[in-house]
Amino acid sequence: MKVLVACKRVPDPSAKIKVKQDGSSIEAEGLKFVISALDEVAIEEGLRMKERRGGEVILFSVGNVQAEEQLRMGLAMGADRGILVVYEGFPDSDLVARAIAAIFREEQPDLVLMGKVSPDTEAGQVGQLAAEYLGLPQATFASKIELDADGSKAVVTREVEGGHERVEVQLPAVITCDFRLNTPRYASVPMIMKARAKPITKAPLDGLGVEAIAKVKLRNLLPSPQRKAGVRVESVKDLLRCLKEEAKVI
Amino acid sequence: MDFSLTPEQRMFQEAIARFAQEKLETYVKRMEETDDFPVEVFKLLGDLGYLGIHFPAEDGGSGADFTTFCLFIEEVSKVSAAIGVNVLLHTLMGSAPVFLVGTEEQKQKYFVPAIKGEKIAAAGLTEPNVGSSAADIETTAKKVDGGWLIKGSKMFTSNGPYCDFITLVASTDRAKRHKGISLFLVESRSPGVILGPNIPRMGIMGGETGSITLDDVFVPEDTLLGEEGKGFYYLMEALNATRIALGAGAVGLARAAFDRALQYAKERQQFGQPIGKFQGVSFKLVDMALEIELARLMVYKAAWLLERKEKFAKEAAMAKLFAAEMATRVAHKALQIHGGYGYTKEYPLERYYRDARLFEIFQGTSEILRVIVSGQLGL
Repeated sequence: MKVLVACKRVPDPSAKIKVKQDGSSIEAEGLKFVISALDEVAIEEGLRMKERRGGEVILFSVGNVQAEEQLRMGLAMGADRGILVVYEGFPDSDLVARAIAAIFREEQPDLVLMGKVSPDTEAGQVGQLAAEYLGLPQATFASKIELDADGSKAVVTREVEGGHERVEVQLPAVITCDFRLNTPRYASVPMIMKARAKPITKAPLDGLGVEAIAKVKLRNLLPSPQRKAGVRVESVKDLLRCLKEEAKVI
Repeated sequence: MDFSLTPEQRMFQEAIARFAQEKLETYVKRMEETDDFPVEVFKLLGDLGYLGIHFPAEDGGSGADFTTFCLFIEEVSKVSAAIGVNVLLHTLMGSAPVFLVGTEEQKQKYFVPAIKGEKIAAAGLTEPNVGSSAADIETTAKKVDGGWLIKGSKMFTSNGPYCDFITLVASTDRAKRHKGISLFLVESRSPGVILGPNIPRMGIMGGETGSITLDDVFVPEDTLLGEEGKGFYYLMEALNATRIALGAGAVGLARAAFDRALQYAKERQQFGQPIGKFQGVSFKLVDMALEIELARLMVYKAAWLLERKEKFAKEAAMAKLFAAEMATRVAHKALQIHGGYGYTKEYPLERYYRDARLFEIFQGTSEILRVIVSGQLGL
């Protein structure tokens, strides 16, 4: 089983995000970065498949050179090697999907796993786009993945409104993962030691034959509006009047 | 000169901090309430290779360095000083001597399971009548046919109430004082060994510590650790390394208090502005940051000396002494900045304040460490 898994570098969701004065991006200085939480779930699932069936777990990331830190962390969880597609700008979902398609053609994995969405842009489109570019079956929002004995197909349980849906896909396929799929492991000390020696290949976009044109251009970011201070009202009567006339909620 | 951590050490720091915040944090409240140590933590840490961080891989360790072990203790203590302290004593005082001077059999029987978290080690040093003056150990081991007969009692033994084995300090010849001290590996379930209950304390709640009574305990020949009469030197070696790691624990505790105080000073509004805008508060925070930085430099400098196999006893004593007193000062100021809230159990400041005091007492009181440093200065 050869599994290709996404390992995206995103700002720590618990960190306070500041938007740069000119709105071009967020303030990365002093900000902590982590692996996207759902990509960690995808990595864990890939590792479990490898532990059961043997094979290889290959991580990839599209982004700036610092994304190597997160790839190393993923390798410390137990993955075998990493591919870093270096792109300094803002890669939209389409560009990432085309990069995945190029890596797929080169590596010929049995399965592509990734989180259903990342917490930074929350676009949630990469898996679907990549499957489309590759003409592969796709199963999104997986909460359970059951591979059949010869690894030719997978039954994926999806969490849908009011229940579960089970779909069968022929492999290779693209599967996007949901939180309930598993609980990712912590990297152990010996695995962190080993991670330094594992290979990470840096692949420039043009080397992969991917056109470096993003369809979505980031115009600018705006900080959330500051909440205005409240006002004190004198009586219940006043309060009702404010709710009716000013807030217009009753 | 290089003050930066290696890429591996940075990765460890991140991984440990995350593990401590996500996993160990969940034990803190219950430990405060019940004063019980969650023994499963040993297995949890052992499985991830944290208990044997700096021991070679061929001996079952993780093959990283002592600095990484200190980073581990620092991050754990930032979340729970009680877990930090008991885990470090298990590794550096209970298990490390077995690695250093133990036979292959002793290593397989005690050291390897200990760093896997399968056996919990206690270091039996302090006694009801003997604390700082280790050469006056009253527990005796008498040579008998086929082994030794041990008699005596130990006090304030961390991990004592639930330990699996004791790295025990006993005198094999009291007339020779420190040259008559030997180490023994005693199974806690041996006949005659009585593990006393957890002793209620001011702080470090959950970091259990108890007495151990040895009532004519027979131990076979092969329980003697290293050479007879060399125990004092083994002990000093273990103590010196322990002091560095305890310094790291004090730094972690102080950082936790500082982070809280800094955040509070930015948020708490009085007289129409955040209290951190008042110099009475901001200067306190500056002094705290300054002392934490100083202590941290001393701790990691001492760890660096240890790794380079240079002399480090003075630096280890200085680092532990300064870091421990620093932690008390920082916890004091952090509580003060929180005012009435700091004094309540709703906030962890009072816990930091209570916990910090232990660092000035165990494994060399601040006074004894001053004696050691003055000796090193030729006084």
